[in-house]
Amino acid sequence: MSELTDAAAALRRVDRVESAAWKGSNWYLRFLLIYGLAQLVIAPALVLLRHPVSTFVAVGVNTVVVVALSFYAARQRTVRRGFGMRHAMVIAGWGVTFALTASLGSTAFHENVLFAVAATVACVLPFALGARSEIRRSA
Amino acid sequence: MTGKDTGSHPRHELAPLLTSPVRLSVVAALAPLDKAEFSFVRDLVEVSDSALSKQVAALEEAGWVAVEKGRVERRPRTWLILTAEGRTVYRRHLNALRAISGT
Repeated sequence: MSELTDAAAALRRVDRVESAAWKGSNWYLRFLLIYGLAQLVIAPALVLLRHPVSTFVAVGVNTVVVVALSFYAARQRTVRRGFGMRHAMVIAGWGVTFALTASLGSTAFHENVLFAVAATVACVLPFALGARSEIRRSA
Repeated sequence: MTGKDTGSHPRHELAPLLTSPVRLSVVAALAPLDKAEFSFVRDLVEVSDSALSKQVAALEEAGWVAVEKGRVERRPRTWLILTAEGRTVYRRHLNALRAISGT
């Protein structure tokens, strides 16, 4: 076998293995989708339900989801490159929107349906953007 | 002919340690990841535990792969990480392969 075909075969193998490693490490997309879906309950609960039911529901759902996703993440066999920074950005973005939702939703905009819709979209957005980024990187 | 293995041909940029298909596959498996568990790489490269251990030891000795041991739920886990030096060598190796194959 010539040097040229050896090199071409090695490159094909490398592509195949890299691609399989990438595909086998797509668990973070599921993580983002589940946490994003949880916001559809958490954010409206904070704004529309009466205190302290709103807090119990929002904190309860959030705690269950975080614990479940932490177990899920801890069992994974791979961590994609740049995961730490990407995850920190998603959680920081969500932290800001969640804090605003909790503070404004329990005071000035309490039981305001329009605010509840806007807050839900804002709370889902960091996870949606994170998921879009993961999908783009996989394309 | 001098017998010295230096010159302008791209083959001189190849890393001898990565001319082994298994070692190259191990590094390729780690390249898109921050870290991967030993069993993940083993399954991907389709080698036995002992064969992978041997290849990883060679890569670790070269400073291209780091090995981290830990526990999750009392289960021991071994993580493999491609070092910065390993990435640089891998990239150079791939560039040399591309130059040789003309792609």
